[in-house]
Amino acid sequence: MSFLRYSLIAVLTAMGLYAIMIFGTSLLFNGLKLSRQLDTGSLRSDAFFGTTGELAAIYNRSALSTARPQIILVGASNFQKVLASEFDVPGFAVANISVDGSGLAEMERLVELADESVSPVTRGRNIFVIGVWYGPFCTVHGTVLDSLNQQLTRYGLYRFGPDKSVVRTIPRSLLLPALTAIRPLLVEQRVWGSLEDAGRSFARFAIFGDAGPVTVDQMAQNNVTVDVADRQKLIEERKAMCTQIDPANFVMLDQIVDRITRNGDRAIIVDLPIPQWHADGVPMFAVYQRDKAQGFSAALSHEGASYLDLQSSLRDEDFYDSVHPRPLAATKLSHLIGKASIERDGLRQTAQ
Amino acid sequence: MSLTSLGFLGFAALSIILLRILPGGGWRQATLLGLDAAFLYSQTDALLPLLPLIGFVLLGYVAVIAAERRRARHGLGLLVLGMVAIFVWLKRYPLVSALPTFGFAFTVVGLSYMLFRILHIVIDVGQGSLNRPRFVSYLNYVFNFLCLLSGPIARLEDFEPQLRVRPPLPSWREIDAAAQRILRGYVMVAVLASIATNFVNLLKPEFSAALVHGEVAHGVRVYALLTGTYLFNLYVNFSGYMEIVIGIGVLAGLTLPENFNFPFLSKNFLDLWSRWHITLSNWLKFYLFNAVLKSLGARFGTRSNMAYLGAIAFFVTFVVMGIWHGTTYIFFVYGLFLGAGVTVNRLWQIWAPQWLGKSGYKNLQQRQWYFQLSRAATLSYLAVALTSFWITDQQAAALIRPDGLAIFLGGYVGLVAAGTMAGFAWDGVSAFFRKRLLAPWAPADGEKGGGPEVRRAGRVLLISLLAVALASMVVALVSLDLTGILAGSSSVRRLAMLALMAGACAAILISVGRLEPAVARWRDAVFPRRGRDAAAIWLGFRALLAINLVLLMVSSIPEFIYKAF
Repeated sequence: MSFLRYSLIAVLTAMGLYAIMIFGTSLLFNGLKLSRQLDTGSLRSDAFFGTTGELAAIYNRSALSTARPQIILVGASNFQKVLASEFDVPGFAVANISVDGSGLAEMERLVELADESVSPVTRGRNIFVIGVWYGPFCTVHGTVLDSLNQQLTRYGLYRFGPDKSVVRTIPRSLLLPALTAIRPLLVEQRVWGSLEDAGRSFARFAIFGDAGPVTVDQMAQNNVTVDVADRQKLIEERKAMCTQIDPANFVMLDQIVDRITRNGDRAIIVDLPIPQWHADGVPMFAVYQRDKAQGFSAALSHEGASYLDLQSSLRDEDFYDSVHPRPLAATKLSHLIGKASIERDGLRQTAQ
Repeated sequence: MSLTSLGFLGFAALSIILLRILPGGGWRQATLLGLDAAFLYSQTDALLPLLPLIGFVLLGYVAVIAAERRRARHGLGLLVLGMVAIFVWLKRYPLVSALPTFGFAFTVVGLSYMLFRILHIVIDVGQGSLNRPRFVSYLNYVFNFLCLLSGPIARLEDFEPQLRVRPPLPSWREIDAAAQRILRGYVMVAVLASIATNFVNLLKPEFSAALVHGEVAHGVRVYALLTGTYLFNLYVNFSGYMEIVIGIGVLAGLTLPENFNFPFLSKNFLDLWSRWHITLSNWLKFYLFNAVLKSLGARFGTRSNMAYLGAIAFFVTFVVMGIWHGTTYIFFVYGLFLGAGVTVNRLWQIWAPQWLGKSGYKNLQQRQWYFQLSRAATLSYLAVALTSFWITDQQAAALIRPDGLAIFLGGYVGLVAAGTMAGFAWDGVSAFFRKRLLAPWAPADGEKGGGPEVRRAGRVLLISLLAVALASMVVALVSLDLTGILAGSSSVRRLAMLALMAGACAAILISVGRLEPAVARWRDAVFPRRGRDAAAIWLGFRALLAINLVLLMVSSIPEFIYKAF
């Protein structure tokens, strides 16, 4: 009895304390209004889930389960800048699940995750907006699938399956309560992540006697100007990152759109802008321009799929580096995408 | 099944329940054998790769039977040599790499430890000091899932009786102590070892670059940091593993021998081996050192040279220990290094009293600076010897060039200097807390219990809390603020980061049990009749803390280092 009583009290204490932690983090979660909107690029999301967006896209999915249909933005870090909170679309909730470093494989995984989280009552009325540019179609692009999968499997809600797939380990009906139950761990993970960054700097200090460059604030980054020398450096980086456009990526885009439209939801492929100096400086942009009409044709042949060309919607001054729009410019993109989604203004069935 | 997996936790819980509720004798033997088999199978998830290992163990039992029947000296020697030869063949030492092997991939997980257990039985049964165990007892002893991966190397005569009868349920204090050990072990393996591994992985390329470019000053600093961190990493990884398996053993009614006894308090190299990997040291002492010394003594021994023959026996023993650790030449170098260390230590023990006189040597040993220097030199020597565990062939080749040697020697000297200073600082702070603050409030005779004890225990707890808070703040200040990492941050961010870092350090200190003595004393004073329940509540808190910390590290928990041996 001694053994049982002792174990029982210990287990109940641990469970009770954890329940208090869930309650506390849920209060924090609601206080930051995170439960209302999934917006991986927002500062609130940064504070709770980190800047890359992975954790928010995975663990804040309860915000997708609303009675209103969703407009869901999927893309990489440049699409993250298009904040969901800047949209004003009557009758729709808007979410941005874009993740820094995403390619098409990551976008496919993100669409899967969103798909299993949206409310069944909105099925057939949701709009998935896929933000692309020439980058995701390069041979080597998308660097975070492993990391995304690792975060997915971290707390046991998913496990690894064959061929880099991940399989949910709990019934779909338990997913949202489970996501709530692990909120305390997410807060700790965020704190620990900051401490790990500090620890790495400390390690640098121990090795080199210098803690390394001081992190520049995100807002300060938005005020950075790109001079000619910077542009050349960025172009060289981009050239090295993209040496070929891979037709397999167009096939993957088709698969993503197929998955979305199969459920009756709509898919909009948005061709995002990049600065003109970037487009002129890299050979693969021209290749992408040449190949995209043919490449997108399969994806756009699905019922409910359309194309929105925003390539010329911003000026060079609207970017703070080679791909990322400044906040004001991103707001303009939000309005254009919102309008196109509802009024179908500017949507086309080809990428010609 | 990894020790840090949720699967293992479930498996351990099931083992504890089964071994506690089923009766002793055949049921207990059969249950344990089933658990052993399941754990062994989980290492490969297939039967075929396990067959050579199982065959080795079965051959071991044949050797035990043969040893029992013959009981002749030369026959016993042949049996031991035969088992060692099969071990060498299965481990694919370079010596036998030309010999044919199985046509399929197979595992040798835990084989080194199985060899020690089997030889112990073969030799002792052969010499008549041990009765041949029943086959099922033998299998349970050799395959025991708690000791399979990395010991400890229990002795059969201590282990077997625990299989025959179900031991009585432990008291709540024993359960509490065991649960605390398991938690501490998990935090050591998953958190501390993970942090240390990350640091080691950052340092390795720097060390390599320093060797390649001949940057001696930078290389010395990196090498000292790397070897020091690796030693710490190995310690928390290995002794954390021991805490887990010994703790589970207590709960399951299988008492295992201790394998570590505060090795960082070692006075010298010989003392170190009575504190580090104790069961391996004891095995080698029983079966190798004693045999070598006896053999040398019989042939060359005189009253005056026995001490020197002892030094030779130590050298041989430690060279063998080095070779046992791995199959490549670098482990022979590791053995030579250990052998040299232990021999120098033994010779110093012989010569120093001759030079200084017995009382002079005794006085010297009692000097604080001598202890600190000796301890730092000992641990630093082990740290640089462990270079063999992680160095690549190219790095080893570069290390014997002039620049490399300078880095090697400079790193060792730097580590000794840093270790000596750290030892003085640590002991000074500890003594301050122990003598100045805690001692005056220790209960006087006849004053136990009641109000005064409650107040004293409360003050001790408060001071311990303050010590943990102070230590955490110092770590946070040194690691973040004094290094300039937070330069340019707003004061809010700076304070938040310092608070978070201090909080994380405090959580780690509490979860490894730094507050335990003070909490236990306060609990016993304040809740004399409900101590068990109070202990369970505290355990629940610590368990939650530890589980949270382990979950944070779940994607970066390092491999168990000794699993490779």
